[in-house]
This record gives sequence, C-alpha cells and structure tokens, in this order.
Amino acid sequence: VSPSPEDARPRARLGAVLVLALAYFVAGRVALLAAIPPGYAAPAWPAAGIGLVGLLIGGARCWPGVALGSFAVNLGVGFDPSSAQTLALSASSALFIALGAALQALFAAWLVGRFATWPPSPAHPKGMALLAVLGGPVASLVSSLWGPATLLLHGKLAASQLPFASFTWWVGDTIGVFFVLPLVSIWRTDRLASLRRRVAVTMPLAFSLALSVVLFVVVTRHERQRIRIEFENAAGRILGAARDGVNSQLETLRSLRSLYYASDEVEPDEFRIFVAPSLARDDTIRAFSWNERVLDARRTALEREAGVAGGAPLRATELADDGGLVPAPRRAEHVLVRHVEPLADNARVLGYDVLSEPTRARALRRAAEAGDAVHTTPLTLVQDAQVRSAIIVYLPVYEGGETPADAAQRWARVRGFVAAVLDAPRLLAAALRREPDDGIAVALVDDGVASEPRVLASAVPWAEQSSDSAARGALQTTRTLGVPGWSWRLTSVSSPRYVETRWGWQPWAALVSGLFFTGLIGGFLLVMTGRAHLIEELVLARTEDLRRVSRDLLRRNEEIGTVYHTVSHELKTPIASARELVAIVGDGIAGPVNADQSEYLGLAKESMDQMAQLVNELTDVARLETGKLAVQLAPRALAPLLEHVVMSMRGLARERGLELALACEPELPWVRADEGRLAQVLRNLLANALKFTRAGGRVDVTARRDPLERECVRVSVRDTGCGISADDLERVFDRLYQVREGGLTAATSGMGLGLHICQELVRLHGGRIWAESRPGAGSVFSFTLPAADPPRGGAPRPAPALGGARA
Amino acid sequence: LEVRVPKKVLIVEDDKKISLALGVRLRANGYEVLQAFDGLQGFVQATKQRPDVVVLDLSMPAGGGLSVAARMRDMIDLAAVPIIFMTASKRPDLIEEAKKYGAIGLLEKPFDADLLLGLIRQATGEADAR
Repeated sequence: VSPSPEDARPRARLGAVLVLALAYFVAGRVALLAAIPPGYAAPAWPAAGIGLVGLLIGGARCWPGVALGSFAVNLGVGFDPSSAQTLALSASSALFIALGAALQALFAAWLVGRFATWPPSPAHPKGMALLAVLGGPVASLVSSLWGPATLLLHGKLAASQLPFASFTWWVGDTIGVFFVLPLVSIWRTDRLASLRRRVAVTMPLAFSLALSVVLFVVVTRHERQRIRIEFENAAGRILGAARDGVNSQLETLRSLRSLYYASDEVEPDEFRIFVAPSLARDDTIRAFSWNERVLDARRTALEREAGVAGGAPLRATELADDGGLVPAPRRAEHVLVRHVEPLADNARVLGYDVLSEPTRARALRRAAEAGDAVHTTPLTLVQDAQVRSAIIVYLPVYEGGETPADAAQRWARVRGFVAAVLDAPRLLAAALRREPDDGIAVALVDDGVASEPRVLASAVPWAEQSSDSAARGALQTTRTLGVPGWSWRLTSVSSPRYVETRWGWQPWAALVSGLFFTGLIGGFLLVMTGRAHLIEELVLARTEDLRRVSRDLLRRNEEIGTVYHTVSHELKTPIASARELVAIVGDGIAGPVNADQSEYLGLAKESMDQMAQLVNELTDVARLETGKLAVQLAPRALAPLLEHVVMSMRGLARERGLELALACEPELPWVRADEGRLAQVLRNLLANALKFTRAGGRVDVTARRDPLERECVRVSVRDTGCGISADDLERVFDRLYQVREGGLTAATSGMGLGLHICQELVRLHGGRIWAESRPGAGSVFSFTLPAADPPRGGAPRPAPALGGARA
Repeated sequence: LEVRVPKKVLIVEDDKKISLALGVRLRANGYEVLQAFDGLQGFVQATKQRPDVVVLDLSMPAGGGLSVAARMRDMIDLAAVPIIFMTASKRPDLIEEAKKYGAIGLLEKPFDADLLLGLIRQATGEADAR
C-alpha cells in the first residue's frame, strides 16, 4: 500500500530534516578535526554551507535539521558532565549556538532567494557571485556574532577573546560556504553538468584541498618543531644554570680543602671568613662544615680541651630514635662536625658524629676512596626541626696535603671532610629564576645511588597541575646535569599551555588561506566550466542550424538546377516542332502562301528562334549553377573562328543599318578554346552591340595580343551605341541583370543571362572579360583567352556540325 | 533522262509533331521518309527497310537513339548506314557517345531544317542536289 501524498509529504520532510541534520553533524565533526590552537576554531566550517544548501534545496521548513545537527556537534565539543550545573551549561550553550546556526541558514536562504539565483546557472554569473557573497560572508555574520556571544554568556569565553573568536568563526563559516556551494551545484543542482565538467570542477578542488592540508601539515610540523626547539633551548639554559650552581659550590669546597691543606689548624673565625662570601652569594648552599676524623683517643682529649665558639665544650653526639641528640658511644673512630657556618642556624650539629649515621657514613667512605666530592642521598639535617630534604656533599681532606695514590690507604689517611649542604629545591628555583617564562617544570633526579631513580627535587612554576597535560602533547626533555662523577639528570616538562601559548598564526593562516583559495577555485571553475559549457552548446546549436540551412540551400539549389534543366529541356522539343512546322508552311511546302502570310509566319519563326535562344541560355545557366557546364579546350586558330561568327552576323547588321568590321592582328597566336563556346561568347557580345547601337553606327571586332598580358589574346567588340552608366557597368555581368535605361528595355528584353554566361564561359577558358563604356560614347566589351601553341602537323578542322552547331 | 531513285531516310523520333514536320520537309526535298516512334520500332524499320540515312533522337521510350545505333552497328547490313543524332540536351558525354557510333552529325533541338538537309546530302553523297 503506497502512502497517500498527504501522508508522504510530512514523512518526506522529516526524512529531509534528518538527512540535513546528519550531513551537518558529519561535516561539523570532520571540520573539528582541523581545529587547532590558538583559539581552537575550525578553519573551515562546511556545515554552514550544508545548512544553506539544505534549506535552498529542501525549503526553509527544513531548518530544524540545521539546528539539530549543530546542537549535536556543539554538545560534543563542550560536553562537561562533571556536575549537573556544567551539564546544563553545556546543553544550554549548544542549544543557543544551534539556534544561531539555524537562524544563519534561514537568513542566508532568504537573502539568496530575494537577491540571487538558485540553483546557480552559468548563464548568470552575477547571480552566482551574489549567491556566493550573500550566502557566504554576509550571512556568516549572524553566527559569528551569535556564537561567540553565546559562549561569552555561558562563561566559556573571556570578553577579551570575543573579537578574535568572532573573526575566526566568520572566516570558518565563509570558507565553508565557499567550499560547499560549487560542489553541491555541480553534483546536485546542475543537471546539465557532464561528468567531464563535474570532474573538471571537483578534481582541482580536491587537489587544492589536498594541497591546503599538506601545506597545513607542513606548517604545523614546522611550528611544532620551532616550539620544541624553543623549549629545548630553555631547558638547556635551566640545566646550565643548575650545573653552574652545583659547580660553583664544588669550587668553594675545593678552595676550602686547600685552606685545610695550607693550615694544620683552621680556627672557627678563619673558617667563617672563608665561606662567608659563598654563603652570601646564593641560598643554594645552606651550610658549610668541617668534619674532622677523630680516633677514640683524640675524642677524649677533644671533649676535654676543645671549646666551641660559644664556649661550651665539644661533645661527640649521635641521633637517638626520638630525634634527639645523645652522646655517641665510644667507637674506634669518629667524624665529628668541628666547624659549621652559618653558625647560628646550625650550632646544634657541632660535635655530631657523622659516621654514626649510615647514609652519611656511606658517603664519607666513598668520598675518601674516590678522593673527590661525593653527595649523600637526600636526608634530613640533624639541626632541622622539621623534615626538609637536604643533600650533603663531602670532600675528603687527607694527611700530608695530597690524595694518596693507593686507594686502599686513603681512609686511613683521611684527616677530615669539608662539606656543603645543598638545597636542591633552591638550586632548581634559582635556575628557573633565570627563565622569565614560567612554562617549564623541572625535576632533578639521581640515578646513581639507589636502585631506582630518586627525585632529588622538583619545581613546578605554574599554579594548577593539570591532568591533561600529557593529552595536549606536553614537551619533555631529560639531560644529565654534567657534574663529573655525579649521575644527576634534569628532566624538563612544559606546562599544559606551553605549546598553546607559543603557537603561531602561521598554521591557521595557511589553512585558512588555502581553504579560501580552494573555495575561490571552486567558484571560479564552476563559472568558467559553466560558461565554456554554455558556449560549447551554443556553438553546437548554431553549427547545427548553419548545417541545416546550408543543406537546405544546397538541396534547393539542386532542385532549382533540376527545374531549370527540365524546363529548358522540355521546352526545346515543342519549340522545335512548332518552329519547323511554321517554317514548312512559310516555305510553301504545305501549299501556297501569300505575301502577308509569309511575313507573319516569318515573324512567328523569329519569335520561336528567340524563345529557343532563351531556353538555351537557361540551360547554360542551370549547368553553370550545378557546375555541369564543361568546356573542351584545345588549341584553336582564332582568326577563322572570328571571321565565321562575324560573317554570320553580317546579315543582322545590315538589317539594322550598321557597319560590322573585323580586324585581326597579323600573326595572331592560337588560343586554347572550345570553339562552340567561344563562338557563343562572341555572338552574344556582337548581338548586344548590334542591339544597342542605332542605325548608322558601327561595330568593330578586333583581336590582338593583350598589351598587358602577353601570353593572352584580347578580343574586343566596340560599338558606337548608347553606352552604359557607371553603376550599370559594375553589374553588367551579374546574373539576371538587365540594362533598363534609355527606353531600350522593351525592345531588347531578355532574361539578362547572356553576359553572365559569357563571363562564366570566359572564366572557364582561363580568361577574363570586362566592359568599358560611357553613356552616349559607346561601349567596349573585351575578353582575353590564353594563347596556345598550334599542334604539330597543322590545324585539324573539326566536323562543323559536331559540338558546335546551333540555331 | 536520269531516273532519280529517292533516298530513304528513317526518322526515329518519339515526338510525333517533330517527326511529322521533318517528314514533310524531307519529302518536299525528294526523300522517301520512313518513320518510327520508339527505339524498337526504329530498329525493326531499319532492318526491314534498309534506309540510306537514319536520323535518331537520343532520348526515346523503348530504347534511346544510342541503343538503336549500337544494335545497328552490330549488324553487318546496317553497320555502315550513316546516322544523324538529334537531341534536346547538350550533355558533353552524350556528344562523346554519339561520336563513338560514327555519327556524322549531332543536331541540337531546335535546329534549322537546312542543317539537317545539308547533313543528309553529305551522307548520301549528293552534295549539290538542289
């Protein structure tokens, strides 16, 4: 059962709305793939074009499709289900943006319907341009104002970002429309478009798009590389600063050792004065100390004799489990803290037996054996009330002022250790202070001592530790600190916004300009191929017209030729019989005729001759028209022929009271001619000359070598007749032309074919014919014939009747 | 006194009026005139009557002048009979064809009876009969 149209229509519209929504959604999701920092705006938003085209094709009532599609896309973008409030906010902003998109599509469709043409036709480039401009940049103003304003109201956009967001929004929508319009109109609305034309538009478009994407990828990669290098450089500077900090303290320690080598007994004051500048220079070192190796015997003496700066006696101590200091039990040897600076903060540590604590003891023994500075793992200082990480660096001082060559003997020869307390967090903070930017976090890691890397210190300069820093592609680099013998490394990590804030405009600009260009190419190709197509069709149609007209004309011409021929042919037979019968009666063969009857019959015969002449002319013209008139050229002696024709016209001339004379140049060359046709030409010219000359005048025929063209013979017929006006002279050889002046028409009527036939015959002979005349001064008709060599063995006279006989 | 045996002229022409006119003219000039009105008749007449001259129209029903001429040339008795063609058309190819059959003349209609008489006299060898 097929649904009735009433049922089908709403269902079809629902289908159209859903298809439009889906198309909008898909186009939007695809475009979001290209959303890049800064701004994270899609560089092209073809969904805007799809919305417009959807409403143009499906009608304005399809607008819910745009709203639905837009809602789905935007819900996906800013979806935040962390709380009911954020959820509501996401939905609300998506809804408002969707309304804006629908509004824009409606506005665009209205503009196009009102001012432009849809579907676009290559015949109306202005309408196409208006369609692109109104549907693209103009209509995109709606969403570009509405969308960011919505985001602003929902607190998702700062007011300062508004102009920029609007701009990117506008650019994206405009390009999207530019992109979609050509494709849709070539594939969907332009039913005339050939596959060739579709490909011609689509391929460059696809190529340009691919080029834009490649350009974008290249620029993006370059941009990432640039930021990476910038980050590496910053990390390198931080590393350098940290290394310098450590090295400078080690230098101080070495100098301090030199002090102990230089003097057997360093007084507390001397110690204080020596380290004071280093302590003052930076806060990376919390303290310097002198830790003396004391054998048990000497411990007793020291505890008895030595006083500390405050006057209290030295007590060898060690840490108890509760964190308090207790007297150290008697052991074979101790390493006691004898001096420490700054004293005020660290007095509690004086007398502490460093050897009593395993971490420190391990470091001491390793330092003694290495003969160089060795650091502890992070530990809490004895003098610190609360837990605070510190690293102590020990440098051994040996008896005798130098490091013993034999490593096994070194501990026995150790006199004590100079030590520095390094504050690693402060070291990192000092290093980071040198970087103006707070985009890099660092961690100092020790790989060497413990089985697994131990983080000595870390510094994160930014406020919140965002969990998605890895997802955004934070940069990270790790390098060893570069202090000889130490296995410290510094790891630098960029902040979550580090890349984003440094992202330049180039990739975005490259993509936008590439896509814009692509859109322009699309429009341009659409118009150009459309125009070319139109022109092609026009040319084809016009060519077909011309072909038809030409065919018709040819057929008609052939028909006319046939008619001419048939008519003339059919006329000849009756004329022949009538003429002959009249002649028989006139000759008295059928019985006696009186003088009057004889005269009248003579006139009748004359009329029939005239008729026969006209029919002959008609036949000739018909032949000329159809190209069937041929001349049979052969070398001929001209003079005899001329004589023959002139002789035959003598009678007529006498009748009209005219003198007819022939003058041939001596040794006239032979000519290539068809005797019969040549005679026809001459007779025609002579007949005209006799006809148009009044009694008492004369007609001269001359033949001579042409004075201009020496290889030609010129024959002229000169009369003393009424002459021809200049206007007529030009047209005297035209077909059907008749001289109508001088009241001669009636007397000299003909069809005006004679001279035309003469002209064509002369042309077939390879000569030319022309007339010279002035009214009242007579006329000269001349024609030329190409000269020819006479055949060897004399001139054959052709049979007079064959090929030449005429009435 | 010389007894003049009239020469026989066969006129093969489908147009009765022309045939009539030519017949009258030739008889007036002392010829015996035989008439046929199509090609087949013409050929039959030619074989039966043995004319001295045959005047043939080129285009006729039941065999044009050329086919009559061709058949005559195939027969020993008639092979030497002079032929004069008449035509209303002056197609060059017809003229060529006519020459092939040894015609002594080709007359284009309408023509002067004197021309025909002259040709016939030439054919019968009575150059100056009048």
